[in-house]
Amino acid sequence: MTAPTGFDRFLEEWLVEGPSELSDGAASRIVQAIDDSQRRPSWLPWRETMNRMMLAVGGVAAAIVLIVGGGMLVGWGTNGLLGGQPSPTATPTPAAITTHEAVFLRRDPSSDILVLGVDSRGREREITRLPNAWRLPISRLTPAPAGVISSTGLLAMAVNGPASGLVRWTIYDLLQPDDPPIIIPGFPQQDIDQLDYFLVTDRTGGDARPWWGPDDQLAIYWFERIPQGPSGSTPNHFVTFADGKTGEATSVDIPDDWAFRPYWAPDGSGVFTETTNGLRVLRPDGTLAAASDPLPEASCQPAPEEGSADPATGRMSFACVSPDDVLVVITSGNASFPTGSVRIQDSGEEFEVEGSFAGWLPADR
Amino acid sequence: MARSPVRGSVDTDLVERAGRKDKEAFTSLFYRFGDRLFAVAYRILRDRSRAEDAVQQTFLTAWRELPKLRDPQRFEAWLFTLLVNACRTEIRHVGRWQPGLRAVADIEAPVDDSQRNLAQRDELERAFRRLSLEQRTVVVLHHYMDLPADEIGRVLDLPAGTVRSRLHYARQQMRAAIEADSRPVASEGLA
Repeated sequence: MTAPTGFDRFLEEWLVEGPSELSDGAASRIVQAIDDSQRRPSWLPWRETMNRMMLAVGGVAAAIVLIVGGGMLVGWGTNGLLGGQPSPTATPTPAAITTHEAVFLRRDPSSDILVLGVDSRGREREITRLPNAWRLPISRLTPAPAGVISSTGLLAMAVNGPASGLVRWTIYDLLQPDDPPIIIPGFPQQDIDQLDYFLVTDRTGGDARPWWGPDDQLAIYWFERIPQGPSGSTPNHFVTFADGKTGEATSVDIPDDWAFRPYWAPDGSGVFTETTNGLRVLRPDGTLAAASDPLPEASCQPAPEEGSADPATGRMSFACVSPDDVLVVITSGNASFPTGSVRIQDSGEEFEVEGSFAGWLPADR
Repeated sequence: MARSPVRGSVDTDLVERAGRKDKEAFTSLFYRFGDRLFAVAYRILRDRSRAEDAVQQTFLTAWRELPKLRDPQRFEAWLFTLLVNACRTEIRHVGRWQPGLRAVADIEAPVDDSQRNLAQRDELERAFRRLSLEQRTVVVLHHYMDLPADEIGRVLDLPAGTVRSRLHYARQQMRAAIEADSRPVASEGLA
């Protein structure tokens, strides 16, 4: 190509320096990863960061190990997170500690929705692709896809409905991405404009988002527009309760002046609702119960220091902390072009992600 | 200094078996090519753990995509293509947030520094880290793997002329960076 120069020789000698073989440990891990990839729905490219993360969350991690070892969180050890096969004689080890990946939904020009996981290094992996789920053009006039993930990896998401402009709620199992989605019945007239309100927020009123409760129960606030006069309409508000495993659903017609609060009662009996008589628990059968428990602490909090409101929409940024308290997602953008950043709490390192934040997916390291 | 070039004979039977999801055959391929890929990834990324990650991702992608490889003879070149993509993923995120001083801490101690002093190595390290991924890749494939431009072009899916041009500017840029670093006031700014 070119005649070697003094600089070239220096460069080549320098390049020869340094390791040229995988360590035995790394080779073993990769072979194991290849083996694991046959059993998992998709490979999680995490492993050696465990040591760093262990340092970062040392205290929390140690506590979790103790808890798991004590049998207080049996579910964590036996769920086979992301398809992993639990050992029948599993003992608590650092490798068994769970963490979470931030999940974002991103539309692409082909009308597919990409479900992306972002790890603690900012690396994206495609968890699954939802074909032809979002046929709207990408523009400021149309909302981006939005969804929420349960603690067991179920994604509730609004996708194209039976007619133009309408949506239907669908549940995808991200831990079993090959399973067919479940379509929740009972949204005959929810129009796509309502997703414009769909933000990660716990504020009262206005904003709406589906909310997962105990045992994969799902509550969705929405409204249909009742035609009134030649061109007007009035909204009729509902909360739909659905079983995330089966899709069985029932809708409760609620008065217009009630505000749906996106929290389930701790016993799973219903969702908190601000009524004209104060805070109550709205049950799936439409009855109200006293709200004996205080509202839980919000998992997402306004983050005004993160750039405050979007100038075009006035919407605030929100900071959402992962269940293991390791990562924070800062939401930004707007309903048409949502973005987020994933920040490692301990180090402050941050990664930008295009897409709407949908929640956290437990990952087996 | 010639490394193992991307043009050696490939056991096509092994590749075809691996393509049929024969795990044992695929593992054999890993043991055959893993070190070579790691050596290249390390030199591109200048970080052992990320190089290991890139190799891991390369083989996982290869396992998934191998059935689509039509010509088993191209396996090794194809593997390097996957590796470069994996390095791109690694470097993209590293470059986004890595503070300037971090890079110095990540530099592994030279295996043998008897012939060059540490200051010279640091200058070269800094100069190399200022290169783009594309530039780093051609530098490593040419000056470490000893591949000619046309073969690099096949791996990177680039015309040979583009490879030569990229290599020329990479070397020029490194020289300029080293000269700049040698001046009394030097900036950190590592990628």
